[in-house]
Amino acid sequence: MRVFSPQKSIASINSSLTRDELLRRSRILVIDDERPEIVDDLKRAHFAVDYEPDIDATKIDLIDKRIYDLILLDFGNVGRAFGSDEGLSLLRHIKRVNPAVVVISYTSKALGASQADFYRLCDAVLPKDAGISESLEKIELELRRAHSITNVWSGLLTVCGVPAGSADDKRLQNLLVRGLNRPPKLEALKQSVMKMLTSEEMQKTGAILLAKVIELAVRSVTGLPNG
Amino acid sequence: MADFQNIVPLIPLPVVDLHGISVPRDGLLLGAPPDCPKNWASGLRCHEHYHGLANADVADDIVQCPFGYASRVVRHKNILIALTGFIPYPRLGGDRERRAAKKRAIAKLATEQINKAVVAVKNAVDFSDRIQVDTVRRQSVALHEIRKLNRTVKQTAERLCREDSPGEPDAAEARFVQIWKSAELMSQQFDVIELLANEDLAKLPRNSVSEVYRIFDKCVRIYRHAGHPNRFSITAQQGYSGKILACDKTLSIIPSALIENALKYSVADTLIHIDVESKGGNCVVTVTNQAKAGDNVTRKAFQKGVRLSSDQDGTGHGLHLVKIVVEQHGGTIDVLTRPLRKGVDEIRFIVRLPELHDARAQKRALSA
Repeated sequence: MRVFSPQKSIASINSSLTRDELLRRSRILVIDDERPEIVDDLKRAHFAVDYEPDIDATKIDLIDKRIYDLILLDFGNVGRAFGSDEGLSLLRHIKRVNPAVVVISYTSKALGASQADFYRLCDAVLPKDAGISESLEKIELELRRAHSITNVWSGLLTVCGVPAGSADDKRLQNLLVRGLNRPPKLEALKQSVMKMLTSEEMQKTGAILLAKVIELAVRSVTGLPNG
Repeated sequence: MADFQNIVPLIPLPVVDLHGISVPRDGLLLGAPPDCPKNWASGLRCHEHYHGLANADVADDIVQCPFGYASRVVRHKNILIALTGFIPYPRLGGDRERRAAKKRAIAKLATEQINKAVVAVKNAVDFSDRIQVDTVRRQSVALHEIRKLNRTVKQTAERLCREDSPGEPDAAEARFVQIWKSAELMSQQFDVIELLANEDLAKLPRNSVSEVYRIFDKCVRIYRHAGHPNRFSITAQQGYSGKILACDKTLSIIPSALIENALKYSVADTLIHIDVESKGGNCVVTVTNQAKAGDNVTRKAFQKGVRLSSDQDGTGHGLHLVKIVVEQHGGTIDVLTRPLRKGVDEIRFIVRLPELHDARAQKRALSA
């Protein structure tokens, strides 16, 4: 019989993956009007990567199905279907659909003050003229962040409209921790989260993020390999 | 397009920059009416007139000066000027105005013409703004295209190095490595140019975790391979890398500008030393070099446009940019100078950046 040690909060759960697990579980999307060679570099490094020159109405499912953990997003000449701010308009849509996806700004354009929100809303910046080794390292680091329980939890809170560190945040974390000791209790967490989600769209995102949080937490406690 | 035609018949309608009026000589030398310098020099009444125009809310009024001429203030965006030295029609009245009108018939202008001149001035200002915006946009496009070309050179060279020496690309054939690192150096300069063009980038949030030693080491490697093989030594406390919360967009400017600066102002063939250590919760980086004595390097060096030496090329912006990026990262920068030997000073730039102490703090910081 396994004895579960009590967890105090999400931050105390070690959800780190081995490199093999990371490669196996991760999907990357590169959105850039000109196909960058980093796509091939990533493939050579055994990452699962897809490339799209742009996202419009015909390709929107790629974002809305929430299948990617990390998106490399160019600024210029993409996202015009979402607004006049090009990459920034698309970025806003991506973050609305899935706040837990890690988006890396991937542009060599010198953005002006009015476009600086693109950098601000992105999770990280990778200049297009970064070196190959540097780019691969950065992407791997950000993928680890994408799969970290704190990142997924933070995304879940955003969808639920719960401020980080608030009483609701602590209550939900407590439910998760209690659920790890007595797995049927996780049902209470699910119900609490679902009550906070008003639209069907939010419920979809919330359900995906909650499932991922629970999976990462349970596997961390049981010591089973993730994946 | 601005309507300049209406202003042509009004030339030479004098224009006084009221922003400069607190410096009487400069303020009046810019196109003042012929009598003005004399009147200005002769007493306070002329001063009072222009100071009054600069400070009062009289944008739409024509105001008579103590010598009978008139002025009309134009406030638009960031300009504050006075069209001045004319006699308006209809007249404002008074003996002085009558005498001025007799003396300088050419200065008599219909109020309607003055209004047209005001509109033309405002149009010219708007046009100038549009030119500036367009210039910035074109510069941005040009920089973008140059970065793309440099990227091709850099990544091609790196691929060649990785093929030639898969385990250690830096040890590949020297000429490939030199091309690769020179292109890296160009990338660093582009980052500096970009921040120079848009200092708001130093207000972006810090949403990544970076190791300070690594970014300095990377920069040193670039310089070593790009023509300065024996100029640098870099050390760190054993096992210490100095993790900080960083802004990916700007952090690399700290090592690149400090090292470039040290290289530029060092005495020939002297060593530049970089030391990374943990002290008082900060990651402390000290960049030490030997410079010609007498350059008097003080904190003033961090001000915009201040150059350390007149016999070196430079815009005086590098250290200013370092300072704003250090402050963006919650840190401080200082400079210490001490005489080392005759004619040579030791210059130390000391950067302190708050450390991230443990994984939990990093996670909290990143998820916040």
